[in-house]
Amino acid sequence: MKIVRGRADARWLPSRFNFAIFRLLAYARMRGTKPEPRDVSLIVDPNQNNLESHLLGVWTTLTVTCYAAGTLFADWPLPLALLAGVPVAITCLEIPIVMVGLSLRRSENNIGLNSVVLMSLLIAAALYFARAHSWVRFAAWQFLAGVALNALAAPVVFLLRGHITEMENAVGGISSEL
Amino acid sequence: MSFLRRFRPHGVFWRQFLRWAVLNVPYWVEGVILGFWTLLFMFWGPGRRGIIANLRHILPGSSYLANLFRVYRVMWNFAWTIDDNVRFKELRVVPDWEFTGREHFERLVKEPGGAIILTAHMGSYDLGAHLFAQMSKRQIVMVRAPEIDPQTQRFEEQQRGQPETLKVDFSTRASELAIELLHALQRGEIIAIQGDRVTPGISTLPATLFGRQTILPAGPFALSMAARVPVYPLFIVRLGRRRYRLVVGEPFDVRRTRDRAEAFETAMAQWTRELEAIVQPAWFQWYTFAPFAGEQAA
Repeated sequence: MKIVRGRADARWLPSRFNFAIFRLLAYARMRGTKPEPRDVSLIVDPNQNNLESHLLGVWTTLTVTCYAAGTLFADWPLPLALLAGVPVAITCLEIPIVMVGLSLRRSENNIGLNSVVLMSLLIAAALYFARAHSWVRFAAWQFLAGVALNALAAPVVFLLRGHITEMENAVGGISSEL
Repeated sequence: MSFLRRFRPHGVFWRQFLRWAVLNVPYWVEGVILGFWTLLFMFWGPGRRGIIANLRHILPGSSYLANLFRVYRVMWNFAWTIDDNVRFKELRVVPDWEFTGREHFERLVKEPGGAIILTAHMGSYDLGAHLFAQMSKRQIVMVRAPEIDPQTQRFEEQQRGQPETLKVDFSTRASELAIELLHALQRGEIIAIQGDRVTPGISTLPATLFGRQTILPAGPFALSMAARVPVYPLFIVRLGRRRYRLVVGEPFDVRRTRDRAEAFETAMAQWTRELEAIVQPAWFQWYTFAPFAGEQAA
């Protein structure tokens, strides 16, 4: 694991982000940032960024909330349906995690597998709801647009990998055994 | 009955469940899922009432309704803290750190001789100990209260992956432990003790915290006086997801004088000043779930 000490601007290192679109945004942000000396110790790990993690969590939950509101609570007033949809959405997000965790590899690290399964199911759900006639299709479309944007960003990040490595080497950092 | 015991608030089931969740929940939905499950903590009556009672003193004039929402914030931070702790133990996921009072920390790790780290129930004790082990080769002894449930205690002991320079001791055998700790200090080791909560069977000193009379552990001050080592106030404050701040205050001595009571009183006043200065702005992560003052206090 790499640790960067004394440089607060290292929080924008692309390697601290997981998804291509966020890596690309971080790269752009890091290019325009001046060195920010501060007494910090930052870990270079792809899941380290708060903003990415919380944004993705809220975005996926709200998307599934819309599906729940538009189907299970379609007859309810919209604000009430959306409110009721939140716990349903969170429960729906948990079901595949529990299924994978319990059935396949009980005491191992299943995070990667669960992440792929969950995202695949979300894309499948978006493809299904995108064909609906109700307002729910807009929720599905915006989700698919987000996924498409990330897919477009992935080759750009791949092409920029040399620059990204250079940028990260310039910031420095030490490798640490845990 | 012993099977059902695991489902009590201090039972082992919840630790096993947390470990399972840490190994299964993708990082990008953990915030949402944690926020949802934190609602369960709100049904823990004694904890909820304890936090509200403490908030009344920490934030004078605060209303019951506002404090009820604040309870959720305390529980939310607590959930993240225990989650970070398990994530570190199981997956070696380390948070980002910021430092305040680095000069005191440098002194602590570089100066020869024993020292006492006096800390509070904030942030993650284990992550702090790991950071310390990473930045120093000095032996550190962590003193902590044992788990109430024996099954939980066994589970925690099995899970604890700690560096060689770190030793954990439990505050059950007060007098025996005091002698061991004194010897450790005399050997030049560092001892970390939580000084903001009293557990049954340990000696106490009167103190004033947020203008209220209370009792706090006497052990750290007695040890400091006996071993003639400084006390370093040190706090681990959670700033956000995978972000912590290490705050180290100016060290103080508990001097041997003719009047022991006065020496303890002075040291305790110094400690409570440090504690108040940290807890007042960071009330949402002081994990003291029992009232610290008043008739309900332990």
